Amino acid sequence: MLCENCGKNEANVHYTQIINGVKKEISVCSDCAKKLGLDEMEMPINFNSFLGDFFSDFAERSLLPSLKANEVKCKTCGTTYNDFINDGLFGCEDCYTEFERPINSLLKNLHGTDVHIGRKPGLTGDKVEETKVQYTATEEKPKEVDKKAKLQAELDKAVKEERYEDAAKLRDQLKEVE
Amino acid sequence: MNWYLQSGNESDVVLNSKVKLSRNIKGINFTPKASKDDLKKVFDLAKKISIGYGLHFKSLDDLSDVEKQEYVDKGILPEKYIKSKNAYKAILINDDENICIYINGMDHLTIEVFATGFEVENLTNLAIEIDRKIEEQVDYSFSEKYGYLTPNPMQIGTGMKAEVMVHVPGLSLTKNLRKIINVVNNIGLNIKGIYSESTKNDGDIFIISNNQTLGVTEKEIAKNIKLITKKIIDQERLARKILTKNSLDIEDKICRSFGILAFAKKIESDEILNILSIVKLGVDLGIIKEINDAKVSKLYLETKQGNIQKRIGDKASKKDQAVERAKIIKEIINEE
Repeated sequence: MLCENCGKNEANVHYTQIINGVKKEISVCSDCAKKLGLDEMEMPINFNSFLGDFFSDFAERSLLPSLKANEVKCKTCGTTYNDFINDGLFGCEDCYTEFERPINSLLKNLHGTDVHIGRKPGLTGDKVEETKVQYTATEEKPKEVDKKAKLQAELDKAVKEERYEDAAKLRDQLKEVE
Repeated sequence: MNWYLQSGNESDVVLNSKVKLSRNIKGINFTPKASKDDLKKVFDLAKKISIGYGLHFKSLDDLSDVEKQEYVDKGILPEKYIKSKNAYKAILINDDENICIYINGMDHLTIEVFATGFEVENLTNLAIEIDRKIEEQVDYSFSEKYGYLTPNPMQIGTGMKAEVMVHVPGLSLTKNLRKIINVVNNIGLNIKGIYSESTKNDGDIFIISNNQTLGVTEKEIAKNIKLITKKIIDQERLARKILTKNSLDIEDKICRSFGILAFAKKIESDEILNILSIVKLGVDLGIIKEINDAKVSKLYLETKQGNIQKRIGDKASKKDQAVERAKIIKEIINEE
């Protein structure tokens, strides 16, 4: 199918629009799609707006019964309560103090907790140690001095016998030795 | 050699690993609410950061579109960052390109470290080491209760994202992908296809990352990713074993794909991913001997948009790009 706009190139962008039950389909090539602004179309669903819903839900039920929620405003950056509900982002570090109560609830929803237990600035925390995990298929390590030759022989054998999974492992081991 | 062209740990399944730390500077509005002056302050502060590692400071305004696209293709910078309209964007990057700190994205500073293969724990240590050095020179926005503060509440606490990119053609060919995706999601980690936000299957490559950043330690994040990835490696190898039981079918599929790769006159960008997936499987299984792992990595990278634009300009038609892509592939296959 050729592009409905320029009629020259193969159409590879198909755009379907349904408004009030009227379906309209357009098929254009990618160059025309770019010209018509169809290529950068994003889904109108924004995940951040879901965050806002958690937040607003909480506010309606239990927070600030005496205050109108949307009048709460961060003194430092001017982010309002509604700004956060719309885009799910905070404006500055002070927002976290300003909106503390609803934030605690939001964070519990997102992370299951509202308290940081990871590293802190200035403290020399523990180094992440290697976790030892056993593979179900255990590897045998060659003990010979001439590891390389043995590995090569094993690799050839594995390929010959079509044990490709082993072959891949052997290949990796060989590379380490080399 | 740059990390993205090397061959690494468990590289028959894990293509690469990445650890990212989101950091913001004390007393400056977060970038979504920052004024131009605020962004400039961050830019100037970042310019003064000197922590070694051979990092160079580059303003994004000094880079051409093709250069920026190349960073995106290598997985170093997110496309969103390149396209964002924030002023005063810049990067601190070393020659090996395994360390990159980008400035004025969603966060003031985003520290990223990369490695080929399966290296989540080593990368976590490296990221923390870098973070600690920056901490001596920059005051971070930090709360005793919430940890490192970020505009997006989904990243506060450790501010850490660990990612591994896995290639699972075996699970895909044996129709077990859905199961794996469900398991990963149930454990609270995130899995998605690389070329789309969805779990659509493009070239059988997926990224596994953590969702939770608060209430867990850096160590736990790395450990969780490591454990689940090990399981996937196991299952993928098992799937490959099952596939090779009927070796004629799989060998035929692999050799056909290699035939297209080696002899086609034009290859489209979406076609190449699926072909390379099968060819990489063939190399890992020892069925294809004409090329090695390093060449496969090179094929993945150099058939992307950025490199093609670098060679024939960014105004070339889709068709010309497809022809150029086929040429590049032949060059790489025939390289000594």
